[in-house]
Amino acid sequence: MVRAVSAAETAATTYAWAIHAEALRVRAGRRMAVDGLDLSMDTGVHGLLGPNGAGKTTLVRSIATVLRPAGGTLTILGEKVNGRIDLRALRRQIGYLPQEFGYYRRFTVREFIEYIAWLKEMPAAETPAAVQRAIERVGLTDRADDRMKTLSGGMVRRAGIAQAIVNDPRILLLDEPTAGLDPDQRLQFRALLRDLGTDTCVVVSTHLVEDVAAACTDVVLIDAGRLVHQGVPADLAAAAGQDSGAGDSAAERGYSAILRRHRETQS
Amino acid sequence: MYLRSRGVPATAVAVLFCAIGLWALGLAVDHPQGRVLVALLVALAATTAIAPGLAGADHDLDRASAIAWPPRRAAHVTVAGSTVLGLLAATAFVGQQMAGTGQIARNVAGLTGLVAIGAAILGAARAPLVPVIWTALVLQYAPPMGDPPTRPAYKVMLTWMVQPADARAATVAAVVLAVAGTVAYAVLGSRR
Amino acid sequence: MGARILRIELRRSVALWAALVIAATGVFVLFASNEPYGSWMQLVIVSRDIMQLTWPLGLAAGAWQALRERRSKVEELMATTPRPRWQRVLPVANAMAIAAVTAYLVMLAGAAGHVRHIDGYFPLGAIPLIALGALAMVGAVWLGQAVGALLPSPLTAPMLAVVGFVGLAVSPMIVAQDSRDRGAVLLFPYLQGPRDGGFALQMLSTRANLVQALWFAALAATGLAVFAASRPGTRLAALLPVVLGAAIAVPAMPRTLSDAWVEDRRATEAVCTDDEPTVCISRLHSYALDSMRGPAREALSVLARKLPPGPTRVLVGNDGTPGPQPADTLIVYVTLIESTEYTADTLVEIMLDGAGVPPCAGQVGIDPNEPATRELPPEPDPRYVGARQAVTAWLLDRRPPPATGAKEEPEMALARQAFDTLAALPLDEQRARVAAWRDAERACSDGDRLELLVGTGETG
Repeated sequence: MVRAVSAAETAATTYAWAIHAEALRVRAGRRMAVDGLDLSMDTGVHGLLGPNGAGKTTLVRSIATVLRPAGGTLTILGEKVNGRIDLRALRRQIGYLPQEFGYYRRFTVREFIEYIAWLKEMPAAETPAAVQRAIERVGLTDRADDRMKTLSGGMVRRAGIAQAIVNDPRILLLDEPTAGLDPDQRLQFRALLRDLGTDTCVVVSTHLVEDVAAACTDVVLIDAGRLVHQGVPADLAAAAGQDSGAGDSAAERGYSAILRRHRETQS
Repeated sequence: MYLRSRGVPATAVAVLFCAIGLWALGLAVDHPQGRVLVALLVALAATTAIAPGLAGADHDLDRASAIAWPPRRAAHVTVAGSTVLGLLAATAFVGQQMAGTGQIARNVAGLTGLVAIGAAILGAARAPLVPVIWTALVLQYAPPMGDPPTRPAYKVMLTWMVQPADARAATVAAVVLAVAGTVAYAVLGSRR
Repeated sequence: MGARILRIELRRSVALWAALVIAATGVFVLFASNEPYGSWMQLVIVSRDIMQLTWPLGLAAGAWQALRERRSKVEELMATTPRPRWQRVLPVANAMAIAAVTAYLVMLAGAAGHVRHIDGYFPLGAIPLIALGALAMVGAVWLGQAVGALLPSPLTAPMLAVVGFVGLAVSPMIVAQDSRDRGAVLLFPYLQGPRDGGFALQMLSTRANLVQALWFAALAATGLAVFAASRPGTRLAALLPVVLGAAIAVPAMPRTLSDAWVEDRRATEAVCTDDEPTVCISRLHSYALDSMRGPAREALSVLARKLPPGPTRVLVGNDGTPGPQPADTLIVYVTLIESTEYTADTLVEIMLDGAGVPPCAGQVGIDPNEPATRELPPEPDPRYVGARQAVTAWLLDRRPPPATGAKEEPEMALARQAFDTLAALPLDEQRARVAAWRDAERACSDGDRLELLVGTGETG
């Protein structure tokens, strides 16, 4: 499914990367959760891996323009987001599913997604069709007119994905999107990711290494706010061969091996 | 930890504010009936402050645990009500008394019972609806500037909160509400 | 698209539930008054008066709604959307405003059943009162939303309600401490009716209405602006409307409450029937006009028959000050505010009382020049009253019944005697004597009226 392309996009894209971070530092509470991160991401599905407290969520939030960088530069779609610039144009092209997805319980699925579409300043004429498309893509068609409080956890998550993709964003940020999905739904989700990744920059922050290995075109490993490794998923399995780390699958072993090696070099 | 899980600090601050407000209004309002009215409304505010604390964080988790919740919940309501009463009555020592101690005690007891009933039926967040609406209706129907109805017993019971301290039917009504509320909340817990 | 979002908000937010609760409590309180309302104006004024109750409930409803973002934890997601906050909150603010207005109007409509005469006079002056009531409720919910957005805690809504109750209850004591008549009470959403309770005949002056409109609008605008503001600086600037409003409204307010209530001249205008005989009644009681027609016709015909020339018009008055009596008009004083429903026969009796001539104040014991005092007037002269009763009985062809109880009023005995005396006389003589009585009564001359009827007749 090809994304509808707006006029602004067909104008020559003058930027190299969809997301580009240079020595990025972002504060989360008191801590500097992202501390000197250099990262570049473009079209494709990027899996963001890392231990708890590595700064994954903080990084995702800063790309979503919830948090302002404390230092370094963050360039999203060619716009630097430091300083006081108007973020409205940028936010129209971003889709975000937070880790704690809050929603209005009394709204129906369709109404809530329409509401988010309106918040994203989508043209009114396109909204109903776009909402329907988003609902179908996540497989919630039969529950579209039920209130959100009647949905199970996995369905709520899928509704969250639907609201993130309703405006066909150029950048899609998903924080723990597969939490609560059963294995079958997870397979469908991976297929959706692969589909989206053909023309969107998708960033998936997750703990599930298998999801990353299966659906992502690019793996980004982060620890203590710094970039550890960026490469294709095959790198993970390859890394497992040299040192045996902890884990049940090759990808998991590779992940823990890379992490351990990085920590050894840091100390 | 139990105290913190029930949001006691915020409640304590709110009740303290009410006590201070009571003292301040005691200085400002002279009219005797007005003082009684204000005392009642401050008691109402203070008892509604304990409503959010009546919420169980996760109902099913609470139910699955081995602790016996009903006595704890009953204790929670009783302690909360007594604390409110103590703080409000203490203003009588600091400033001038707004209304008789018996009246304040009765009102706090009855209103606490109503909040507990509200929590059991409507959930902790909507619990204050019950005492607020009842008090508001009573205040409009039996304006406290005049004399509250004294004769038909059921009317005295319905307007129990504006009755003078010696009205026995009113005290009975308040006690019944207090006990019923404590029992209902102890047995049923908060709805949500 | 904004309209669609508004519809979603109306359906899914707490707006309509809040409207239901407020309207229900309002209707309950309005119905709780034992006496039905005598006039539409009274209902409207009381509905404004109970804003001491409904206005704080509106505050609480707004605060409860504003809690939704915090309760649902959508703030994170909302922060990433391009639409600015003020555009985002506008639909839900409008939904709450619609709910507030609806609650007030439904409350009025629901209590309309408690108005004694639904087809009675609906004063034009009631319309601004209703509009201002609705505006005040809108201000309540918007202010509530503003406070709820600033203090998102489940405690905010009930506390706001109670603070509202306390504030509105205490305010008249504080504002009007020296005299009970200060005009500043008009700054508050509730309304105190005219001092003497003459609801039906008065309305709020244009100046008072305009000042209140300005003030309530300023309150509402401030509430909305603070609610829609995203930064503390904007919130501070959003207080501007209420400051401006106060600066204009407080000096412009009528000085005393008595100044604010003016006479409703349309209410006392005469409304007359088109056909003969003409019956006129004040517009306030126009609902009773139809019931007056039959008795009026009968009374006029009786008078025309027995005591020509009789009056040809009937004017139904309500206040007891007798004025000059034109000969062709029969002025009837019927107290129409009370709950008694008059039967046609009773009306005829009332109309023919004293042959349509009102009693002289001097004879009844009231000096028209003296201000009305609290003491009971002295007992009227029984001979005077007896004469009146005799004349009435003569017109109705109904002998005053003899006493049934142990003691009889002296005037009843005298009336019976006079009636019998008159009945024994030839018809012309009867007519002449009653006519003489009527002339004396009209002129309010001194002298014993009973003499005129039974005494030694002057002319044969």
